[in-house]
Amino acid sequence: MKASKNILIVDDDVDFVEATKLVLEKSGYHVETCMSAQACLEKMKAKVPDLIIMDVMMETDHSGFDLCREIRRNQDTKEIPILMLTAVDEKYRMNFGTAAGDESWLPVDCYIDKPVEAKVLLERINKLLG
Amino acid sequence: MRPENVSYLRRHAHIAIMDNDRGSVELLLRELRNLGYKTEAIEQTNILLRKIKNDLIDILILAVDAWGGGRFELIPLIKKLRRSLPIIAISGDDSLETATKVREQGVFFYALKPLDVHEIDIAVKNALARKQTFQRPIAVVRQPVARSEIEHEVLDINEASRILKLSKKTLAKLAKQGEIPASRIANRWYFIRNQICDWMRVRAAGNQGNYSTLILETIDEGVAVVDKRLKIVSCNSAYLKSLDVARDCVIGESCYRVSHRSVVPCDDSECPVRKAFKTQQAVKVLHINYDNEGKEHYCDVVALPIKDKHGNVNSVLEVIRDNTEIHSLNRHLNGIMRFFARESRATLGAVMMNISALVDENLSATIGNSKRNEMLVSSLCSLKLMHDMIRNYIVSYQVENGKLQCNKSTVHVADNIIHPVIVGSAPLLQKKAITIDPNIAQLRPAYCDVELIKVAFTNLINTAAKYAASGSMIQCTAEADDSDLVILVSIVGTGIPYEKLRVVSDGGLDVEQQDMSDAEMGLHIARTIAEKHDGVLSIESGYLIGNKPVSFDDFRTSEQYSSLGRVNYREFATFQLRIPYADRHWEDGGDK
Repeated sequence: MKASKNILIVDDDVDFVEATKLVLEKSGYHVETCMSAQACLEKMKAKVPDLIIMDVMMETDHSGFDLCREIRRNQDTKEIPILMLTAVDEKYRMNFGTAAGDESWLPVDCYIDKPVEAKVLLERINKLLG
Repeated sequence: MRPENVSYLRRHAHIAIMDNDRGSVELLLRELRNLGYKTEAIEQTNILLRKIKNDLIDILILAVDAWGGGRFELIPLIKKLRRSLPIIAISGDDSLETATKVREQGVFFYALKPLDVHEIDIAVKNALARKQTFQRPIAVVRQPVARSEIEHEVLDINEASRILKLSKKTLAKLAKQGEIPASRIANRWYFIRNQICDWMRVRAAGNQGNYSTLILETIDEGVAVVDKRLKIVSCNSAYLKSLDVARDCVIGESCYRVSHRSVVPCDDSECPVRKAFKTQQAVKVLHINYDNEGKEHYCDVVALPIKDKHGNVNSVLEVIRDNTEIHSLNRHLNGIMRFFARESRATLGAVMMNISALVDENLSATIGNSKRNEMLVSSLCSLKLMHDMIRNYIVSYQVENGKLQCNKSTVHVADNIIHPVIVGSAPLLQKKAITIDPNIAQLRPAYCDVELIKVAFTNLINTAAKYAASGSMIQCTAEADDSDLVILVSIVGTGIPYEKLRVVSDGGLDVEQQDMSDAEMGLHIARTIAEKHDGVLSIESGYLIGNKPVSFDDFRTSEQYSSLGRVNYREFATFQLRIPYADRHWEDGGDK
């Protein structure tokens, strides 16, 4: 079942993307990556993923926030589970964990602070993909 | 706020409104006037700035998205003119980007259109309450003067006469009698400022003939005793000095008139003296005051109830303590902690993912040897960058505290600097498949601090590797011209983001700024080290069209930008570290 699931990673941290891609591929997922919100939207036009892992700060400090709202606005993508994985709350000094799931503020299904262990990330992904 | 205070402030508060949306302006003018405020619509920026400068506006309601968002640039300018002016920003743009931008500008309140007049009224009331509480005690802020200036300032008899309010003749007589500390040099009397200030304090205390005042004079901070009617019963000289008023104008006067220059008492909930009377407990309140230059001063105002023999509180001791330095240090430390937390979490993201995968039995079994090596190199590289970041911060701390030692010695540039740094950068270069082409001329030994120059050079290599394309080459040359050792590092294929270069062009690095990156920190340290050697660090970055370098700004504004295809230009960055050979050292017979 895992082999059929596609995960899209959106993050401009090349090292992190490479490491996470490897872990997910070794766990049986098909993984695509991109480094910007715009590239993510383009990729989704070609193929809608089963889950998106995204950072917050990419081209701008809040690209991730805008991107998750854009995904939720689009009829074709609004049901895709989003896992936000970032160290951004050090910058904003806010607790994003409690805001995750708030449709108007942070419409994501799960929020994890970086750094995260491979095992923990896989557990969350498995949970989100049912 | 008490009702009488609200109505008083409403009658006197002047609110300026600036928006190109006539509907909003008219709504605010009408509704705020109905609530009793004086309102005015301003259309021109120069008029607004003049009025702010002349202190004719108490609150500004500013549409930040008006005129194509150009009002954002206005806010820092307004803050420079009058830091304490409360700005209520309004906007029809409900994006998070605008909200974040507005918050970062430090406005008092942000409201979205369509405007809720009740909400604006509450914001205005709060702004006025804050203004009354925080801004008025301007006079309690001591002007920031370097301690050394105060201690060592030598005054002639004219200046001493003005400070002591004594005629020159009397002053000379007292000096001659040894009543006042002074020195006579070539028939002229000279005085040390802090000595005559102490003398004035002692004399003031002695003249009081009052035991309690004498005790107050032993305290360095401004202290006053306030009675139940909020009248000042006694105070010390530091209190008078901080307010720049004479004793006659203070004793028997209401404390709010003296310290806040206000005709009405402060709000019950904000005034520590009234709180201390009410609760019979010591109360401490933080007041943020602004000096004439708009700088914030954080003052603890402590009110201590004084009980009589029956246990009744008939007076309160008010102490004003300027804690700006402690507050500033605290903010600095918080900035550092946030920086490290953010950078280390981001850097450790990849390390944690790699290492946790390698130690996981199930995952590890699926990873081949070659991939395993890649993961280890990647982790090692991240940890090395983290090490460099921490070392940079230590150097930055040493610079800020004047503790950076520059121990110069005779150094062979190639053997002691260039090669060790390139070897140390191997994991970073290997990970991105970047090669380095070192081209080191036959150089005479340099006279510098080898460890510091290695730090500077490492930072240049780290930044170059960060922005170089995978698989590309970093050119590195070290050569000498007539007087300088020049180390040049250049990359082609990608440039350095313009904003990262400001630490080199502007020279400023604020560790409290929220978005400082490790690259900016690294370049700042490299520049600092170059300057420590009387050298310079310069960086150029932009586009290469053919072989011709063009700056980002010049290129983007040129017609070529839209007409050239992406394949016809490349981005580049060049770092040049230039250090004088300090040949005088050789001439002086230094070690060769």
